[in-house]
Amino acid sequence: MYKIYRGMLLSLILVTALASPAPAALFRAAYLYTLSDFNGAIPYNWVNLAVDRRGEETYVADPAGRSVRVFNDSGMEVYRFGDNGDFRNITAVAVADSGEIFVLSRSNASYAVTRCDYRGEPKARLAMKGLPPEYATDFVPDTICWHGDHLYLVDRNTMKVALTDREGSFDSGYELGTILGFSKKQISESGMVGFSVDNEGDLLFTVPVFFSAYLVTPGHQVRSFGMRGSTPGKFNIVSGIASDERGNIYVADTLRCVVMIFDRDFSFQAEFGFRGLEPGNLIAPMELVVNHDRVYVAQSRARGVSVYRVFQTQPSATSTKGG
Amino acid sequence: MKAAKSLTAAAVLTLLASGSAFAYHDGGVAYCDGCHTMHNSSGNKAMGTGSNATQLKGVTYLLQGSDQSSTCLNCHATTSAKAGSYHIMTTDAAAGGTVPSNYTPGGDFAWVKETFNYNSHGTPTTSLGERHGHNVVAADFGITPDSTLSTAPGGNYPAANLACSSCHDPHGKYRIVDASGTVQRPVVAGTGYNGANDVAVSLPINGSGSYGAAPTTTEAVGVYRLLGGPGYLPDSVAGVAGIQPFAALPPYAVAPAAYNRSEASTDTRVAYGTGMSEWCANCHTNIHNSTANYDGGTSLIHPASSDSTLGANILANYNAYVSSGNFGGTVAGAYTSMVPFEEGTNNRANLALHAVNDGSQKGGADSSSNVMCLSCHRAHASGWDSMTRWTNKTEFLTVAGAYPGTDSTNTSAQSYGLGRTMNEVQATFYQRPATVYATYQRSLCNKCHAKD
Repeated sequence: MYKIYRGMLLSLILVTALASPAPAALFRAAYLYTLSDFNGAIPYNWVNLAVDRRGEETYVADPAGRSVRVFNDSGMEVYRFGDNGDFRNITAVAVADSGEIFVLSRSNASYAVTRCDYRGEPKARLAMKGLPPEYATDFVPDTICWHGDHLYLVDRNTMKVALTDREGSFDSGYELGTILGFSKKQISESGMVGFSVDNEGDLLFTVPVFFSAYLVTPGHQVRSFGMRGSTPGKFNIVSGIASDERGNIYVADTLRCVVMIFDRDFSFQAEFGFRGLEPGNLIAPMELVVNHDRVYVAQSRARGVSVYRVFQTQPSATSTKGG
Repeated sequence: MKAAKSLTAAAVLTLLASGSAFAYHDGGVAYCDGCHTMHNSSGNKAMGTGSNATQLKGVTYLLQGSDQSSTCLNCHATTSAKAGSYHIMTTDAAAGGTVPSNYTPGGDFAWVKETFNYNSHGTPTTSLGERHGHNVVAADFGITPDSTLSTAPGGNYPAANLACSSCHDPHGKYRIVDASGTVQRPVVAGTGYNGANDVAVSLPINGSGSYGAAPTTTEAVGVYRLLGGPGYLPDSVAGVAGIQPFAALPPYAVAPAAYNRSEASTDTRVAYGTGMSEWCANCHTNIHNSTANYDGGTSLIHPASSDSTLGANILANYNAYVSSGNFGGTVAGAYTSMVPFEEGTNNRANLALHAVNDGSQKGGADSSSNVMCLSCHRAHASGWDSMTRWTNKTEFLTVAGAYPGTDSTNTSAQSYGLGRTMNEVQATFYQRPATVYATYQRSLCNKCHAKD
């Protein structure tokens, strides 16, 4: 791999894949900034993220502050809510197309979802209705997201996903472990880490102990990719996963400290970040979200949420497959 | 590179047949680039070229993490507030969002980042996070060296050098080679530390030894939890003052396959066999021994060793004790994982019979049983000072039938939580309902000593 790094803000990283044959330089990633307030970069660790594409805003579920903080497209905090104790132990946040905000809170083996208006004012505590037995017990969501008309409640440990409407009425669900053919033992020993929903309503998720990323369609068709290894495009300990409007898939690798880019055919295109302490580097990336050409990456070591701009300079040509 | 897979469920079954969550270590050394990187420099900067170029360094020991423990925690830490099998740290808890919720027998390292403030009889008091466990230095996860205890209590191991690899051999060299539990470590001649168990030739490891699997005539199994054995001295600390090669064998113990779980309904019983205290003494050499005051010794320290069998009175207490004021229990139901003991055997087959999480093995102690370090302490961390399993700083563990906490509606109970919330206190008891104890339960020292 050959890379030019010019340091600091708006540094430009020219990325090419180390593969044979080497693809053209299709992607460029530029580190922009770290989510900040007026005191500087906020030293988050492994926080949950959500984006409001309409408002070009980014949301962070801040468990330390027990609040949700909102950032504009320049990465500056513009608003926060929940710090009055409305939500207690905040775990995750999701933003609906309508602008409504959903906040997931957890305490031991119980959970609560609060629907808020666009200002973060709590409007209703969702009373989960119509949950089938397999979602009524042994189902404690630890992350949420919104797609279409549904709230996705995700228990990454049991690999179950429940879809509800904005009121909490159950619509459908995915038992991803069963869909993948995992035994109960395999589910309990593995679980998934990254989770998101793409524009087509496909579920994207990672299972690091199997060194794999998966795409499950609403019709329960399964596709997967990933190969164990430490060279570009391969998986060590994969975590966050998300897609952009073109169908490119971004996968964070917590151990290799990179974000990998795959096209819609799962062909590896490029990666960026890399372990290091420069502003554009990454330390143990975990969750990520994509908003247009911006990629937001939550890290460890109190390095906060780094924001990159990714340029796709020409249509993707198939290169190396699946990591 | 692997082509994208379009799979039916049946095809996925085939795919999964080649792997499992335990495949990462499998009782021995994992694949190299799971922890190390061979070709990447720090920040992925290009290596210098030309005769005068400076070659940029990678991370020390070519680790993928910033240090040894960070490398481990990249996989073994989680944001998820729910117990999962291989996770031993809840990162969100450290941020104050949730209580530590991994319930491995060793405990959740998140407790070492949880500091509690409370009033003790009018005096502002702090229970520092660093008092709650082994402060394995992990820069990527904000775990720093213990600022108070610069060396291991009872020993000389420097706090600044404490890492996961201080106890666990990441290369998994130690192996059990026969039914009697013989541990060997093969080393190339001239490269070992002259440990008594070093041999030039040994059986290959074919799987974990933590869950009761037996070796065969041709394949060994790993030792319990990849713990280091005689001669173990990581290269990273070779030559560091105060650090000596391990002298003791890894302990004999067997865990149930599912061990990271709430114990609200049934205990997670690790069947500890023998050797745990001796192994802890690799670093904590002088903190406990078998020459205790109760049998004529003069050290005035609590016994903890394979020689420290419980004795008739303690044995009777353990098996009869139910809770404060209730000594009506029987040996058949006496066991509690809050106060475990060693069975005094290295018979792995027998230990495996007892290593369950379904409540089917509640048998108490017998004349072979002995007290060990883990009878009172958790190996990784707990919610209490000195990483004890319960607090010894209050008279009561429960107040009026409930766990105490700062948020208790019973104002007289609030101080007994020592700055913790009720949820946090219950988490230290691995989610047991308070009703398993007396309405005013006193210290679990009484499981053995029955003074209440």
